[in-house]
Parts: sequence; structure tokens; C-alpha cells
Amino acid sequence: MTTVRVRNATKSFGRTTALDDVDLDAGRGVTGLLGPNGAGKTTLLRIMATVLAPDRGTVTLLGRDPQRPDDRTRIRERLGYLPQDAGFHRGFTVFEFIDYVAILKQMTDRRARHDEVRRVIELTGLSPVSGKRIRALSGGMRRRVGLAQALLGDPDLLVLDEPTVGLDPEQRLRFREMISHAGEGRTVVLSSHQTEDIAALCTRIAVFHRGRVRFTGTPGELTAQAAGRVWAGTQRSAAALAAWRTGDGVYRNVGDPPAGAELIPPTLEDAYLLLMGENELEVTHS
Amino acid sequence: MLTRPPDPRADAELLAAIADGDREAFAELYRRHLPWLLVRLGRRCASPELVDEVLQDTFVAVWRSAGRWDRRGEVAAWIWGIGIRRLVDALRRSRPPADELMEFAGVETSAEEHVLLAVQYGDVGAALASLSPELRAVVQATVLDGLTTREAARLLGIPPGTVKTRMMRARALLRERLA
Amino acid sequence: MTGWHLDPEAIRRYAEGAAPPDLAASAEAHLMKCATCREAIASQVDTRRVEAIWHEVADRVDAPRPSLPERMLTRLGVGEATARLVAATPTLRGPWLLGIAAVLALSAGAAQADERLLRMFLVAAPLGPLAGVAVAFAGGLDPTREIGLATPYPGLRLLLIRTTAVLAVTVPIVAAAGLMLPGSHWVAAAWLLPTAGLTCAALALTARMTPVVAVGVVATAWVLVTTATALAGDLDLTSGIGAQLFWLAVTAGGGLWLVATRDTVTIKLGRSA
Repeated sequence: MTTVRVRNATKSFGRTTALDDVDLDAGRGVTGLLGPNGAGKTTLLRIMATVLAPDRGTVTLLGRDPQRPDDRTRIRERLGYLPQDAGFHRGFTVFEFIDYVAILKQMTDRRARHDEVRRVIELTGLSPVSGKRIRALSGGMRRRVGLAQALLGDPDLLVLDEPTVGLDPEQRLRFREMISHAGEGRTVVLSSHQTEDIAALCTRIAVFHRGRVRFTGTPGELTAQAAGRVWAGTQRSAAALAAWRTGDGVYRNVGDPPAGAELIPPTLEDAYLLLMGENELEVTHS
Repeated sequence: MLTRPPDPRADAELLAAIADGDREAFAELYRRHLPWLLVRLGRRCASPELVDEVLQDTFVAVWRSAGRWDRRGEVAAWIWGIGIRRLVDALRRSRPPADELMEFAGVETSAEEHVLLAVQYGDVGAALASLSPELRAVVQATVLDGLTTREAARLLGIPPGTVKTRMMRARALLRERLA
Repeated sequence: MTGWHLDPEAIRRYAEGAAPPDLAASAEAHLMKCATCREAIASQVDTRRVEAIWHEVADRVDAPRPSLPERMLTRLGVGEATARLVAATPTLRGPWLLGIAAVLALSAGAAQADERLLRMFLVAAPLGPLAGVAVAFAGGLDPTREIGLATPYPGLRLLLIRTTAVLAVTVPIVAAAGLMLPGSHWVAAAWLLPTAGLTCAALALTARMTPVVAVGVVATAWVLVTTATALAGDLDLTSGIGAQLFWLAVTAGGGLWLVATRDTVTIKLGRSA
């Protein structure tokens, strides 16, 4: 089932083209948008969150057209959105803030609304701090508050912009758990420039570069693209797109082989680096 | 909330954490102290609805004023102090018909209960048991529940003057029986 | 902790209310000192009742304690949810109100010294409430705007709620400043209709531009049109009968438009990459 369907979406801000003729489908499970900063991920996610409309192209969310006011309201009733820099009224407590968003989500019955707020607070492990002011929380905790509000009302479509940014490794693991749990039976679209997050979480990925989609498929398919392109050797290869010395003193070369190097199995990150590097070449040469 | 593993923290530590906004500490304190408070307040007010309401007020007050606990004595006694005063206030607001007050009816005291009383109070327990229900209620409210004359009067639904005279009579009787 | 415990039978009888008074008294005294026996009582108590009370307690503990303005609004019959939204309006935070009050107090004070400044007060007065409306929607001051946009809450309704809240607070401030003016008190009230008209015009423009830009456009137009004539001593454009009728018409027209479109119009979004 396709929950999100984007066709030929183009969006410019002034003279900058943020999205250039993008197609994307997303259904049940977790779909990841991968790419460097400024590649167009945020713009596409904002379009999926109905806060932005493309200049050209069509978007269908949950079977409805976000351009039509009635449809848009119906979509928003089933949507959870964590923006890239989710702002908070910092004087609010965690509970107050999530309660405030719940009001905006049209939960008018006070009792039912508070029950729902408590549910998402528990789900994101915020119970111990639910009475604390947001300004007193760490960055990781604030990110959880952002996720908690997105989960209000058990939405069918979750749009999460860089949900794991600024988290320490342990929090990042917690977040992966929460997100993959949310992805069961729901559509989650998230962005990240962390290949580990994407590899760990996503059933499908789309790689973005300069406003265009360069790859769509499963993480395995992306990784497979780098098969035969990653080498371990005693030295850095001048011809490699990327090369770095790993902990065991061996150079990991991605791209063309250095002399005397040994072919090793690629990771998602290798494939991503290759894809980015080749696109970069293509862009600079054209 | 009732199925969590036991929290190793002592009541005093829980209160300190609550003052800091720790909701889990609060849930634990509630789990530990609600049941006995429910029973004890239930013995002083015949309306379960009113008791429930008083208990809600009590624990909301515990949450908000945890930082004001003076760190002396038992946390249980502190919570009780809040609870019984809330009950007195609630009774004053909805001045109850006389039948809402519990009858402290005389039930026969068994042999082992006499032993128990002796352990806890010595002869005072036995002497207390021999008082009439009205006098015993006044002793209980003022001596055991720690209420002032005025509060006891509100709890029992009788004028403060009556509390004083009954207390004097109870004291005289107890002195006589313990002599 | 004490060295002995209440036996299960005593606990059961006490919990059921069947214990004789002397046993009850001793049980209660013991319970104050013994966590083990307090724990033992829990099994004698109706779990559903314990849960039900907890539910209420948790709700009251978590729930935001309504601020004074919120409580006043609820007493006036405003819904609890709406009152919360009003309380979260950025303009209603102290510094902005103080700023508006200070500017108007200064201009009113200056008008005492120079009569031309009295006319300038009429030009400046509507700008206070308008600035408040702009602040209520400036992205930097409403940090949750992006989240709010993705919710089904009608944007125009939120706009109206906040505008009403801002006007309810700023108009009395301007009125107080007006009363400090020398001369006729009617002049001190002549800004009310222009303020209402300008606000309605700005709200109507939000269908085409962001609220902040809309307020800016309206405020600039107002200043450009009125300043020169007001300085020259001609108050017709601000407080003349014709002008007052004109603003009344704008207010009525804008109000009708808002009522007609309140749930369908889309509030324009701020542009950001």
C-alpha cells in the first residue's frame, strides 16, 4: 500500500532549486531519505507534512490531495511531524507542551487528551521528566519531546526530519527502537545523513543529492552497488573516491583499487560515498 | 504502575526526588502509601466518594509540597497529617448528615488482640477500649490522629466545646482506670 | 521498623473495618512505623479503586496548572483548550506588552508638550495593537509554528484567537495612554475604529501573504497616508466623521469576510528552505 506518492515535485526558493523533478513512493515501514545537508530532504519532508506545497508536480498523501483544503485537514488528522528544528515554548513543562500540540491536533475532550498525552510520554520514556520545564532538559530529551508530540493520536503517517541528530550513541539506540516500533503497521518517512541509522532502521531508502533522487531501493540493493569497489590495502589509493585508515591500521579504499589491495565486502556507507562521489563528479563535469 | 519491580529508595529519598519532579518516585510513593491511607481515612468517613476525593487532594498536595517536608519523623506521618486535615476540610465544606460519621461501635476484643494492645500501648489500650464510643472517638481524633480541638470538632460534627468536655471526661476516666 | 508485625488476620479485619476500636487504634499506631505492614494492607484494598484514584491524581499532577488569565477565560465561558492556546500567544509575554505600553505612554506624554504630537498619537495608536498581532505570528517568537502548521487546527481560527487575545490586552493600554492626552477625550478614542479596520484588513490579507507581512503592509500604508496630513493639522483622515465611517465599513466588511471563510482559507506560510 502506498501512503505517500510524489511525482515530478519541483520546489524553488528564489533562485535555489531545492527539489528538482522528484518522484518518491513510501508505504508501510520505515523509508529513509539519505543525503548531505541541502540535498532537498527537508523540503520534501515539509511537503509531505503539508506545510509546504511544491511549485510543480503532484503529491498524494494517505490517498488524498494536500492542495485541497478539506483533504489537507483530513491528512493532518492522521499525520505526525517532527520538524528539523522543532521549537518549544521553553517555559512549558513537557506535559504542557505536548498537551498544547494535542489541542492543535483537535483533541478537545480534556480527559481523553490528557490520557493520550500520558501515553506518548510513557512511550518515549519521558515519564520521569514530564513535570519539568523544557528549558531544563538536555538536547536528547528535547528530541524525545519532539518525537512524543509527533506520536500523538497514533498517526498513520509519521514524518521525522533528522530524528537522531544531536543524540549520543545510547540515546540514538533508544530512538531507533522507538522509531522501528512506530514503523510497525505505519508509514514512517525520516531523513538522516547518518548511514548507520538508515541501515539499521529503513526498509527502503532514497538517496538525495542536489535536489534530485539518485537512488531508490532497499539498503541491501544500495550496498550491492558497491560490490567490487571496496579494497583494503596498506596504503591510501590516489584514485579512490574516499580512503581512510581504519583502527587496525589498514587503509579502506572506496573506488578504484590501489596496487596490491584486497577486495572486501562493502557497507551501506561505502555505497553511499560512491554514489555521492560519482554524482559530485558528474555535476562538476557537466 | 502496580507491576513494576520494587523501588529500593526509602520514602525520604522518594520525597526528595518528587520535589525534583520525578514522576516515577511519585508513583512509587503512591503505591506504598495509598492503601493504608484509604483504609484509615475510610474508618473516619462513611462516604467512599468523599474519601477518594480527599485522597486525590492529598496526593496532589504531596506532589506539590514534597519540597516542604521538614525531613523530620516518618514520611507516613507527614502524609497522614495532610490527609486527615484534607478530610476535616472536606467534611466542613459538605457538612455531612450525622450518619456519615463512622460509628465507633464496641466490638468484643479477643484475647490475642489484648496482647497486641498491650505490646503497643500497655494498659492504655485496654482502658481505651473500655471508653464509650463518643469519648473514644474524641480521644482518637485528638490523641491518635493528632488533630486540634477545632479540627476534631469538624471531623466529628460536634461543637468544639463538646470535644473539650468529652476529652476532660475521657481523661478523668482513663486516669481512674489506669491508677 | 519494629520487631513485630500485625498478623494477617488482624490486618484483614482492620482493612475491612471490622476491627474493634482498640485493635484499630493499635494497628494504626503500628502502621505509622512499619513499612512491612503498610505493604501488607495493599493486598486487602480494591485495586480498581487504587487505580481510579491514581488516574485522577496523575491527571491533576501532570496537567498544566492554568495560569490566572486562563482561569479568568474559562470562567467567562471560553473552552479550556482555547484558553490554553491564548495563554501560549507569544505577544502576551511581559516584555512586548511593556514595550508597547512604554512607547504609547511616551507619545502621550510628549503630546502634553506639543499639540502636533497629539495628532501623531492618533497615527501611532493603532500601530501598538497591530505590532502585537505581528509579534503573535512572527516565526522566531512562535517556536512551535512549524509543528502547528502540520496539525488540523484551522489556521485562521488560531489567527483570530490570538488576534483577539492581543487586542484584548493592547487596546486597554492604548486607551489608558489616550486618557493621558490633553483636550477632548473623544480624540483619545478616535483611533479605535481605525485600529479595528486595520486589523481586519491585515487578517484578510493573510490569505495572500504571511501574517507578519500583512501587518507590515497595512501599517505602512496607514502611516504613509495619515502622517503628512496629521502633521499639517488636518485630522479628517484619522478622526473625521467620514474617516470613522470608512473604518467602520472596513471593519464590517473584513469581519464578514472572516466569518465566511474562517475554516477554508489557508494561512500563507513563511518561506524558508
